[in-house]
Amino acid sequence: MSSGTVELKRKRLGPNLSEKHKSGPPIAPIFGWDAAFELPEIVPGEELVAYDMSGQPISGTGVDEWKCNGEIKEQKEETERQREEVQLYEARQQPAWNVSSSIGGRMINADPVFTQDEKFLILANRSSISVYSTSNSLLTTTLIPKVDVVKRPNARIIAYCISPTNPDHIWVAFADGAIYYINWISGEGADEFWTLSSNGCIHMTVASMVSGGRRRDVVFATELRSDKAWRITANELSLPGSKLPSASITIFTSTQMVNYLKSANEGEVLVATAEKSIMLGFLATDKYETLDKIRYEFRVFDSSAFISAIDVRCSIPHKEDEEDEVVAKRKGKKQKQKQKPKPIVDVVVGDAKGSIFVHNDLLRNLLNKERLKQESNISLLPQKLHWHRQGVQTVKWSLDGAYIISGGSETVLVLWQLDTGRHQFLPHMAATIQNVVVSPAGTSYAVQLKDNSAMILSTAELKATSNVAGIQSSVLAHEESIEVKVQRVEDEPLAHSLFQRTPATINPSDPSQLLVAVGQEHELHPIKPLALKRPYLQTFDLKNARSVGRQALTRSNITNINVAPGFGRMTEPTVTHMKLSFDGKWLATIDEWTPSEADLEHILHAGMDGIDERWRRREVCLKFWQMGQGEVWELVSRINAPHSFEDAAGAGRVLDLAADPSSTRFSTIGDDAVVRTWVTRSRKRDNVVVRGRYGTPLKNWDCHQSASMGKHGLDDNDRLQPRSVNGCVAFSEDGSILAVAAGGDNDGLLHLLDADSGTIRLSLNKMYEGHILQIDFLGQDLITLSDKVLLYDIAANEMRLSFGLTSEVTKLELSQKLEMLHLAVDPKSRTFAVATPGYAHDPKNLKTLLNLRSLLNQCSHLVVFSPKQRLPVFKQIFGTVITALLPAIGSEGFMFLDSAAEIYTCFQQGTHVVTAMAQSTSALKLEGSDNEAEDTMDISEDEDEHLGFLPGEDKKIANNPNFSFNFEDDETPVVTQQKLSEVFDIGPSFALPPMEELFYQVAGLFLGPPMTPAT
Amino acid sequence: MDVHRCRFVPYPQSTINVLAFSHAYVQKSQEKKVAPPRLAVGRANGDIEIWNPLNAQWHQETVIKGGVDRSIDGLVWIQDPTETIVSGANRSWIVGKSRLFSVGCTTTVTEWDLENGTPLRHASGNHGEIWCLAAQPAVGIKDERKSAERQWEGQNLVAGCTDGALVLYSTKDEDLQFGRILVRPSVKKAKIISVAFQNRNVVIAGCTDSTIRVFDIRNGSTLRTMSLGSGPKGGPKNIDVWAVRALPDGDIISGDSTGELRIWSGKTYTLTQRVKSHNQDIFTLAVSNDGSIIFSGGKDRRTVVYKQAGKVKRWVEVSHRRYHKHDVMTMASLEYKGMSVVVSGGPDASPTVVPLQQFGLDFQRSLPFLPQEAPVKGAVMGKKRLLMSFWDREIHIWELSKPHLQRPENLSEGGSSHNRKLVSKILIKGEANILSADLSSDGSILAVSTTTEIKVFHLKQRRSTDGEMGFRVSAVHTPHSFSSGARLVRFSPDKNWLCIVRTDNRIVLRRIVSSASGIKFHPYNSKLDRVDRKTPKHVILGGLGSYDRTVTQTAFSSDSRILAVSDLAGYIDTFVLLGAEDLGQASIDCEDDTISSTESSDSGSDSEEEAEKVKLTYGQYWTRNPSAASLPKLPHAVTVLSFRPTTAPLTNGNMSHTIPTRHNPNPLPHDLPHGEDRLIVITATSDIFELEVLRGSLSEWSRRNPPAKFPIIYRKVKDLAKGCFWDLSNGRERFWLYGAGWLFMFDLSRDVSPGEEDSNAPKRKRYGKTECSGAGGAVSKFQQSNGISRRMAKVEHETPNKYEDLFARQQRGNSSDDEDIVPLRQTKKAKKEIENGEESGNSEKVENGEAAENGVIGNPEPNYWRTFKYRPILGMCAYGNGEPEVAIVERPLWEADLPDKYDGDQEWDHSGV
Repeated sequence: MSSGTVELKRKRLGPNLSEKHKSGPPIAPIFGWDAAFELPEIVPGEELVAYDMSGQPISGTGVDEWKCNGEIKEQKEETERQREEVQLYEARQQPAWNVSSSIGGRMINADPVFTQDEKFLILANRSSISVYSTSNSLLTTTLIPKVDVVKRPNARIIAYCISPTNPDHIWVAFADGAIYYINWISGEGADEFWTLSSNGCIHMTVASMVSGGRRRDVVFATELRSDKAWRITANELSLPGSKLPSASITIFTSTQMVNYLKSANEGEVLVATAEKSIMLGFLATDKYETLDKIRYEFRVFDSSAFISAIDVRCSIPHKEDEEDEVVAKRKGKKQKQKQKPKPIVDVVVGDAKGSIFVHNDLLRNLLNKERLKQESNISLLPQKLHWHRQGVQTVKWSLDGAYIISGGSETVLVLWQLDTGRHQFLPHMAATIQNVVVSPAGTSYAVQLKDNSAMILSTAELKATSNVAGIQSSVLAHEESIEVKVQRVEDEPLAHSLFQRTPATINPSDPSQLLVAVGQEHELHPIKPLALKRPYLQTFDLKNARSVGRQALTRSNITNINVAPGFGRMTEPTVTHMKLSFDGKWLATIDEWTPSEADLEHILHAGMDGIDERWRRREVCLKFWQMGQGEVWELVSRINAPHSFEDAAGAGRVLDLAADPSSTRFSTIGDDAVVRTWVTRSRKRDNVVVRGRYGTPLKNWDCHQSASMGKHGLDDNDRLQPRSVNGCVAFSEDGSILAVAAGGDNDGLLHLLDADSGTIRLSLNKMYEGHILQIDFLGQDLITLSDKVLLYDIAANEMRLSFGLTSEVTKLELSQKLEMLHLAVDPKSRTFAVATPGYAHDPKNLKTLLNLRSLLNQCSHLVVFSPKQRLPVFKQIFGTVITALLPAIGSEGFMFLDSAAEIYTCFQQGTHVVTAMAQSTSALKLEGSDNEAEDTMDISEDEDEHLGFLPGEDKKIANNPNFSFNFEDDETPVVTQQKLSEVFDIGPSFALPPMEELFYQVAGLFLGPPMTPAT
Repeated sequence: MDVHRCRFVPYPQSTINVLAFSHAYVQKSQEKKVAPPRLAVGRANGDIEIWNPLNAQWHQETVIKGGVDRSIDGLVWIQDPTETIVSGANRSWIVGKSRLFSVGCTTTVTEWDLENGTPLRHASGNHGEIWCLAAQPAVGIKDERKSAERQWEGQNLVAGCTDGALVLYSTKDEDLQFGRILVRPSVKKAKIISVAFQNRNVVIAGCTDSTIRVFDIRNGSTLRTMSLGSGPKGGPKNIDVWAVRALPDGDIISGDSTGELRIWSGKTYTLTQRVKSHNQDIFTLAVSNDGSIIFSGGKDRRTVVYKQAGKVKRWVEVSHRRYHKHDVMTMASLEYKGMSVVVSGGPDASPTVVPLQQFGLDFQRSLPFLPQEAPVKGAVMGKKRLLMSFWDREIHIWELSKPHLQRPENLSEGGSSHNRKLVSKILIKGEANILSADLSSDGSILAVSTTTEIKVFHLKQRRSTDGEMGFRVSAVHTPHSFSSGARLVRFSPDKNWLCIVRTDNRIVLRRIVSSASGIKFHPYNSKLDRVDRKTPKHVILGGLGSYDRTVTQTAFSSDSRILAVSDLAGYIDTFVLLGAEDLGQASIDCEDDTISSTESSDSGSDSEEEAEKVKLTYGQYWTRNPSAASLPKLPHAVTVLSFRPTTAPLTNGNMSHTIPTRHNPNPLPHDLPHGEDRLIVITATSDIFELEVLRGSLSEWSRRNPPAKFPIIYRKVKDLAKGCFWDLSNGRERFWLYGAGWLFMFDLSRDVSPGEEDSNAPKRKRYGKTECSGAGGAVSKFQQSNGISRRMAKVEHETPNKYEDLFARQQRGNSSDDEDIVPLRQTKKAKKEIENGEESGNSEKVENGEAAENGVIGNPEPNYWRTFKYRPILGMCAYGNGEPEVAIVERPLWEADLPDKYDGDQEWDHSGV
């Protein structure tokens, strides 16, 4: 690798960047829906093949011809006509469905950034930068660096920092080596980037350095080299309008991955870490006109364990501290005149084993040690602080160097007072502390937690002044955390590589509320994922893209010392199913807990069967919750082991839970092949109805009736193996029919029950193939998801649609299918959607093939069907795994959550999308410059052709940059809290403008479309 | 080989109350002016152990035994002023005498006579019980020139009392006298519990009323009272200042019951910093000589290390470890000839050596808490195997059943009492504790010595009323000369002779006459004199005096005709028994002046007058081996001395009888014994030598196998050898040697092979214990937990990386320079050995050990074998002449009852966040 300057050209993305890619989820570069749904043979014109019961591909012009009883008319192939039809169909239907840009997402594990005036806190997720106000913790603006997802599939933000030279700008580094320089106030520069390295960038930091009479930002980045080595480069990037060329020089190379980099004292000191090594570099040249003359000298030594956090602090020595320099000079030759004194570099290192090491004045100590051999050894030894049981996730110096702030998985913020050896704790932080940053003035700490939230604590009283929380569902880890390298007792991984589905539901009474079951493990290892434990319920506001509540649904261990005597972790129960009643007032959850194998090792000596005992000790609870005061779900009834076996001990699993769409009723099916229906009963004591505080009668939940489906493969022996069978239950829309499928039989037997009496009214054969995965009703159609997707018209008693899934999907294990195949029915748009997993493998790329088992290469297919059409109305492939698929209750379409914790809405155009509101903040607060307005104008012009389809759409509004992306009617102006806070939060109450003026400002917000530029 | 694994001996461990080095630091230029440092360990049972650091060998040289209700609570060494003799161009020094003082829980200060192991003087005054003691600092080198006109340069003692008095004791004129009371007892009765000198005139006293008081000893005035404030909420109001020390720059540090280290300015006597480093009381402090490192130890078992850091030179805690299983009560530091250690001790009884300057880079080392001299002895009485052990004033004798009754897993079960039986328990009258005891090889005679007397018991088997076999113990009438006490008593193998080493190191042999009626002693002492080694007078007068001539080991040859004794200096003296036994010659004196070869160097303190004459007892007499003087002086003290047993049957017949004639009615025999005279000697550096005593030279085998040729695994062993036994059955020549944690077997019929460890190892000159700072070996790169590696690379882009050693060791005398990276490139095997520590040694050897126990060491390849499975070994004894049957007496610390801790073992068990 030559160290010479490399010309870096800033690439500007043209305006012709496809708008669909701009905001949509990352799209895997493969071949479309063929990958998900099997193509029996590649016959032109026969891309979509329906199967009959015997597995023969059938083809027909209309769905009427498919009959479930096997009476299938042979049809001549009419390929030509079909192809035309398909093309016609696609041309007509495809634009009608769209996928919104995402909301939510997970904050990346990088230090939050305060702006210079501490008014804003900048956080980033995978693809965007969010600026939050520190005073009211509201999202101020979102910067989305433009990324061509097709060309740069693995572009994600890895580091960002405020430019020290120009604090209006922010540097953003992407994992693929792209660097953006964005004005975070105006959003300028989001479409231009430099590429530092084609092999990928690992970390970046920026220092403002003066040389040659010029102050400039120097970007230090650690990069992957092509030869399995890593390097640190210094780059001066030519800013727009600057005539200076960009320059780059490698200042350090290493055979270990340099994963962290930090500069101090205007770039004079650099600290980097790689595995166990600490690299301390200092500027060895005083004069460097251009960057290629810059020289750094590094000292590299090892620490005791893998380094998980580091911070550096620099101060300029006082006069008397230069004494030993003078002494040394007197001793040595008098060759140099007054040299610039070396700064005092204090380094604090946190390692994966929980130790914190404080190296005081490290640089001079190391240099002294080199020069004068006979120094006391102990002066080099760092101070060791040990309180953390597990890896130190973050460690920071306080501004004056008297304190160290550290945090880790103990959920305790520890403040170490160095001079006295005392420490102070701030416990119960709700999740692992991932990053802590001290604000520029030292008045507050920003704490980023692993549950996808960040908060600002005041330094003085350690009280939270603002809090930002995102959706807390699990994500796939992109890089292995350093903590993995410490040997600990590990939880058992899942038997098969899968991403567990996230129990989620949308509140029908408030369609902007998404309820998600979340847990503490937020990052999932892509190769050997652990079984997720989700004891919490998070309520997520889709409109504002923020978390509004979190409560425990089961017992949880977050703030306990979560170590069992055998050093394993104590596991928590996990919520497996969650459904809301039709009116959104009741929540039914099912949680399950099984003791881990290690916990039962001791009884194996007594000759007991370990697996049997594990299932015997399983706990399954069905819980009913009511929305109570204070927006918290209150537990009303808890039914332990709702599906226990009569003949054997231990709680049977609950396989499925269904809510009646018409009345307050739930139904479950369990391991014992019994369907139970649960209804409310008034709670009575001595035949008097018990009333609550507000005179409302209290209710209990009871099993209304149960119907046994016989031992359909739900054999006693089988229940020892996890998930060898499945059962499904679904209510029809009017609540009169309960469809039940149980067992793994190949005959595909499905029963239709009278929901009120529980008697089997009709049993249907061959309703599914292989294991039944999910069933649901869409009007009179019953949809089953198994190795096939079948649509069966109950009223007409005929099969309407039948699609086979590809062998890639059908050959998966049952547990994988259960967790990764999704079916959702949207009664509003009369459509249903199926999500299936798939591998985004590129035959040309062998490397990906080798890693096939990794969940990182998993993609998912989303297909939306309409019962009225033979062909799907929408299909798309996503580079992430879909973990929950829901009907978007408030609007037509579907909502899904993926493995990057992002929420997308798949909607029919022209409908109102609830998540769209969360998107429109960027222009609300900040007066965009003309430049920006033009840019967005371009974008909206691109959209014109889509918008043209919409009847009654006002072009002016479409042209409005503020509303370029949400299809709002102008009758309902949206006044967000940000707007209001802008009016009111301008200063202390005595400094407010006259009341009259305030009124007009508020009224102005509600009257007309705000800030509409005159056209 | 049959093994009795015994864990039933309730040998008591005793709390270490105080540790003191005779010199904490010796400058290079001063090395000739001081005696080599010794460590005195004062224990709660009144014992004072004298340890020689000896280049990190840590040899427990002598033990001054305590007595009933005695305890050592304070120990202080001083050195009398060194005098310079200028004779022409040469300068030599009369090294000042090193003197050791102690206090117990009394009002008395005691000075000890190290040569005799007895108290030398006492002094006391009219004040309360003395709690702590400190010695005035010696005159520094800087002061030396200035103070030419000063009247006296010695070190006085200052004692702090429980009634709040501070008392000065004068050590002038090689005496110890009550000086004066500096501070009268206060009204408030604040105890003075710690005392230290800030300089020669200012003394700092830590009290129990939250104050530290500073006094000038010249006039007794209080310079300042420094208050620590009130104790933390919920605790006692007053803070106890358990430890005070002065740093070289005059600053004062204190450790107190709140667990805080406080640093006070030595000029203004104000608090400059406080560091909360302990969860509970700090009991003790230690400071490196240059004042750059502080150690503290306390009740929370922590040993905390502090250094000065930062631009304003504030003290920071470097790290803490729990080296002890109980409180850390006391600490002492030593920096001498490359050693740089802090020794700490507490109720877990093991002195623990922690590296000082090399802290974090070297391992700590726990010295054995069991005595160097194994207090066990086995004997075979008829078919019974007896095991005798002694401690304090008790002697216990057990009978072990045949080992074939035991299955290997039962061996360790001390609780199963069926395979051993306590047959006798003897309590010695008097105050003094037992110094030495011996059981004759047939178990019939037991000799016990204290500092005041020697007692002999006759053991007879008898059947008790309930049919159990028991013992009848009857005291044997002892001659008058036995009433003066002895350092060592030893029976000859044929139990005809009792060898007595007096406390003043004179050697006396006494013929035992056993008859059916009982046991009597021959009326005459055979006094033996060691070769006068011509020690210069100024050496005897100064330093430790003739302490190094203390006899610590004796050995009889198996035919009882050769006696070897060795002393701490490494001299071995041998004596031979001449003449054939002729019981008819009983009690006939032989007074032949011509033969008298003994020269008495004593100034006849002994009351018996016949000492000057050579007397025949039963036709035999002991005399010095003619070639004794030609035996080489060994480099170090001897820890194990043993004659090779004779394999040929004992014959007296070939010894020519001297025929009495008229002129010479009792002719003196001249023939030297013909039996086996090869003597195995193991020194304190674990070097093995074999001497041919009668020839006065090293044996052939020993010449071929110098210590450096021994396997590395043996040379790496740190604990000193404690004893040995032999296996000469079936033509073998096996020599078994054990230390506190190891058991080695060497086959003396073959030369030592360096062993497999050496074959592929890179050459290295120094290994393990020789290169360390005085504590354990270097911490390997993989185990370091101090946050910084040993090496640092200097990287400038596009220039080759340079590596620098960060922690170069301080050079020791003859060491070469490039060895510092040795720990980094050890062979895989050695590395593994180090990493796994003794654990791997243990697991690996178990099967080996089983094999050896069953006597099937089939593979003759390496001529040595070892196990680390038994530990800590109190002692071993072998039974029988054939294939040996041994009893290994272990005394694990976890079986010894440690005093209760007020605090839980591990705080994290019951604290929550």
